[in-house]
Amino acid sequence: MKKPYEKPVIFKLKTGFMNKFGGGSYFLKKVRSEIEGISVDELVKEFGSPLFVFSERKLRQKFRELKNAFTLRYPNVEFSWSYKTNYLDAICAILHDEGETAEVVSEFEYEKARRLGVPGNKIIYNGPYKPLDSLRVAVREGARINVDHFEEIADLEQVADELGAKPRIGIRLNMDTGIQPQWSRFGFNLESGQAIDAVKRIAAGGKLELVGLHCHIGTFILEPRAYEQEVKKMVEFAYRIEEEFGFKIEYLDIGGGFPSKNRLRGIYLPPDVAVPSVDEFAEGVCNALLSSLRPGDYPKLILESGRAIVDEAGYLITTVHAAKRMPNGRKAYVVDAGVNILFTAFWYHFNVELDREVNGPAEPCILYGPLCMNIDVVDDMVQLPPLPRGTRLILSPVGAYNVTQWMQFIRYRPNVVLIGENGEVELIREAEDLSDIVRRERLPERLELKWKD
Amino acid sequence: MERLKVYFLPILRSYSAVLFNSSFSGGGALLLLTFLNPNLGLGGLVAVISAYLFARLIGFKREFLRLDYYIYNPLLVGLSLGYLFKVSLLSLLFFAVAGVMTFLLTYALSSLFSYYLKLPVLSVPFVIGSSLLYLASVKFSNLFAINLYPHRAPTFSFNLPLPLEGYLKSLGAIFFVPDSFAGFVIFLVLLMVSRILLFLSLLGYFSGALFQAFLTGSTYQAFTDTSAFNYILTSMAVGGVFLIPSLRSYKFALLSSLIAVPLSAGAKVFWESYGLPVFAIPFNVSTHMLLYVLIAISYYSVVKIYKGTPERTLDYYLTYQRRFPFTGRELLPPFSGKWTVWQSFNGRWTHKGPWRYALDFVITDEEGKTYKGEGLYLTDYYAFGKPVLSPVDGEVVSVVSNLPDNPPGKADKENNWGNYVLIYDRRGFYVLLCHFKQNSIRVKPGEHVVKGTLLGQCGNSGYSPQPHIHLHVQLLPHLGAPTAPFNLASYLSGDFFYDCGVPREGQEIEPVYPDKYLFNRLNLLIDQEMEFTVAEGKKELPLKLKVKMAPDGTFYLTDGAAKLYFGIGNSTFYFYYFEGDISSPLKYFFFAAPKIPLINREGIKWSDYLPFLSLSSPLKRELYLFLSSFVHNFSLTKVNLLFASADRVVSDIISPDSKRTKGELLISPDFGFEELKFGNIVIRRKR
Repeated sequence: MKKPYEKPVIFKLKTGFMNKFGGGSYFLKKVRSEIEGISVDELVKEFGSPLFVFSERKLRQKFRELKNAFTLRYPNVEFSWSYKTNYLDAICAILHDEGETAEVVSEFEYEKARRLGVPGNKIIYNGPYKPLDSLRVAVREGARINVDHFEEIADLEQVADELGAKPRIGIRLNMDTGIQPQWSRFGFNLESGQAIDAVKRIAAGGKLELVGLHCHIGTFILEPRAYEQEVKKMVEFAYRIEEEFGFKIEYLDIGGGFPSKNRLRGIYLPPDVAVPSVDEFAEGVCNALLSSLRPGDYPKLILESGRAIVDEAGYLITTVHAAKRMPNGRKAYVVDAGVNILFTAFWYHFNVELDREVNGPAEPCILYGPLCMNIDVVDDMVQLPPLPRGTRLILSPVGAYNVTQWMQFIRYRPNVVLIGENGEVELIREAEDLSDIVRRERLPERLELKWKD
Repeated sequence: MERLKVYFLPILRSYSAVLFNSSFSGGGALLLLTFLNPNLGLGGLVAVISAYLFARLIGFKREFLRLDYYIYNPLLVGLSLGYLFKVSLLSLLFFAVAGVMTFLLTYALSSLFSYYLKLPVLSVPFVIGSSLLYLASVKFSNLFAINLYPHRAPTFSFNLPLPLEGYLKSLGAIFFVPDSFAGFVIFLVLLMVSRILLFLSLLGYFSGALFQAFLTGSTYQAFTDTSAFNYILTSMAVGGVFLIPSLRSYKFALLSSLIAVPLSAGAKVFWESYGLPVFAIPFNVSTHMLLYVLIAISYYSVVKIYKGTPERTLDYYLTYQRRFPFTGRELLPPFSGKWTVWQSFNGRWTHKGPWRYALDFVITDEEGKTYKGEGLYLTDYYAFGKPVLSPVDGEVVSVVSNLPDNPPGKADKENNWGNYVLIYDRRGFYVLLCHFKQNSIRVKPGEHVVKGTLLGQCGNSGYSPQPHIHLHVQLLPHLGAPTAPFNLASYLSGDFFYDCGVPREGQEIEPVYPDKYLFNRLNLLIDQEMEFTVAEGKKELPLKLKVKMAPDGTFYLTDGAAKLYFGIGNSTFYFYYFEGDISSPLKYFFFAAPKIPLINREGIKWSDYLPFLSLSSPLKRELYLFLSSFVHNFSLTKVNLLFASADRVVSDIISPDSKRTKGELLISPDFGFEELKFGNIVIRRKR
């Protein structure tokens, strides 16, 4: 076979040298010919490329790791599946089967959970924008609602009057836990006294029963002590409410934000070093709870972990479509998956694996997506050997936030498959075609084209 | 009317108390029976009333009459005097004085008996009182001359075979009416009140009388001896009242009525030399002797709470035994989440001999392994470093925390227990937890801990080849003391909830802490009221329930006619037992959901047992009870329950005749119960 011609360039060869991040670039080359025992080739042959692949085994394993880490340290824990990280029916169904309830942040997610068969009392309804109609439904169906602002207290009181019920609600807090940035845009601020004002307001109204506290300190938090702070402040506040207002605080919802083993852009350490284990988070949270709670009092601890469970269960198979040499000498590839379906590319350097052994020295490369847009960069710095056209790249972890934040932009969204625990491969979301996109469009008659084929 | 009832009912009860029950109608029948001889009837009644009035005079509360020996002793003395003297102003005064005297005697004697011997006084005051009064009346020539009357032959005669007539006459003799008609009435009263007592009366009489016949060689004498009623009373007291009715108690009954025979013959020699009948001496002596020994050695089947009849006692006891097999040493599992029992009581490896009552826990994965990877390092073990929580409320007695953790597979033979925490529980025992991780213990000697306090972390110190928690109970404070049996309280194994039990080897268990919301809703407070509508077919009746407290501090729900005792313990809401008018719909709450675990998780299952009271046919109920007295696990009513949703308990009640009833209980969003279904009965909360 004739070797493809490549224009010669000169670049500084680093192969074989030690660097402070461990290992030479030669060893950074990783090969993955199968996912959960199913060959990448076969998957692409049947379902096309690009292709999202989820592993049921990995998903359940990650959930159980998290569950064990917390339930073995605190006797009353509820896990609530953060729909926004991944609300594919099949993914949610697996996690509900594992015992997770549903955490939703919009009427859309609420409806999606209900449609899947989640009863109202197993839904936690969060978020800064909850339309009045959706509050009506949520109260009627017994969902747990965490209030974000004073207007929502008024809305809920109106709903209470209408339905003649006394909704049982929580309030969302924001607080200083010693980390930056402080997420102060959601809920009531603790330190400024806004939170206690909200409780006073609820008590004065007399139409709502405050039974829980909610807080979510941020996302991809790499510091377990931040959660310790959060828990301590919440417990202290809960007791203050119980004493001053007579409400019984039944649950403390500490939100989510636990990281996955993904490498944030701007962080140089590999995730195995930078990301604390889930046990470290659990130990921090549970020890803080056990040491600040009163004897015999075990309010329910609610965790809304999403990313830490699903991220590592998701892979994206993409195919090299073309290779380029940039004017600055940098090698670049055009692949068939872009930021339209890989939103988290803006945050992470993914783990890039090849479907086959490729010889040749690795060099820093750019991965461009298929979009005719300048922003479509999947990775701007990844060490790869010279890849022939048609090589499949397997990007991971991509399980969180992508199949929710993806969009139909320029190209169709691809298939999503699930590999079951017994190796069965099932399509859980079909690739789109034109009909999906034009279904909602209405063309005024007068604008119809008169051209003839 | 109400006031009259308040005074009258205790008096009726004093009559039935002689036959060891508290039936009002039975008491009424017996009262009328004594009036077959008006002298007798008045004698008894006057003595009782005078004793009762005196008790009220010195400020006794009505409650005291629950202790029935205060009232039946004056009654018996009154009857014994009425048997001797006919009614006149003088004799009536004498009866009244005798009543008060017997009351005082009873009070004094019962104090002595309960303080020194821990025994009930029975009819000892009657024996002493009547003997003294009979002796005294010999001196009272005036009373004697005017009031002594001859006894006519009984009005009714049935021409019955001698043994049967002897039995009936002996029954009558208990109330000083030794004729077969009176005996027959008492027989019917017994049949109505308690089949077990009736059976015991036959057993006692015929065994005693036949024994006497063999000993004396005269059947006629044996079957005409009026003091043979002692055999009956002894048999009833031993076999049905002071021991839980069972084949064993019936053997004791038989034995003690045999013992009463020589006692009776012996006592007669002394008493008759003074011209006195032996009254109930044989009964008192034989019963007291046996009872004293049985109580002294803490014999297991001695009745602690007598429920009015042997049947009710048996039903209560059988149900209690099955429903609440508590040892008084209930411990929470000393951890959080799901752990697996590595070694249980009488374990395979080290739980032997004096240390057989101990539990070891490890954490296992889906494959049953206790570690990930190859298990070469302690950190590979799931249990290693996991929190250990206090299983009891108590005081830390001693702590060792500085021993190193062994590498997997090795064990420290010098310091068997490794790092440990020893806690004293005020219920009277010590709890030892061991093999903690080095320097992980967070409590100090002298510190108070409560259930769930973080003690330290699971480790691998001491005689421990892999990280695990060892838990046992001991009665002495030193390390290595023999272990004592205990139970774990409130845990789940899979979907099944246990309020109390000892998990077996290999069982995976998870402790349950009460859910705050469910607890707040079922923690019914005194004077809370719930109004319901009871619908059975087309009939609709109102039902109003109120929470009240009993003098012993337990709480009950009541509609005025019946009481349903309830409480919360072991993370479980219990309906303890039902008391009072059986027609009250209150009982359906008990039957549909006898206990409810305080877990907010649907799909949780558990089971419980109901007393025979739950059988709708009274005939069947009594038959099963009577048969159960011979074989305790003869049959039972089992209930299987399930949380269909977080608020809805669904139950399946399976009675001994395999009849199944469906029950359902919906817990209200604020407090108490919203809706109850039991068969075709629907009880709905009225708001």
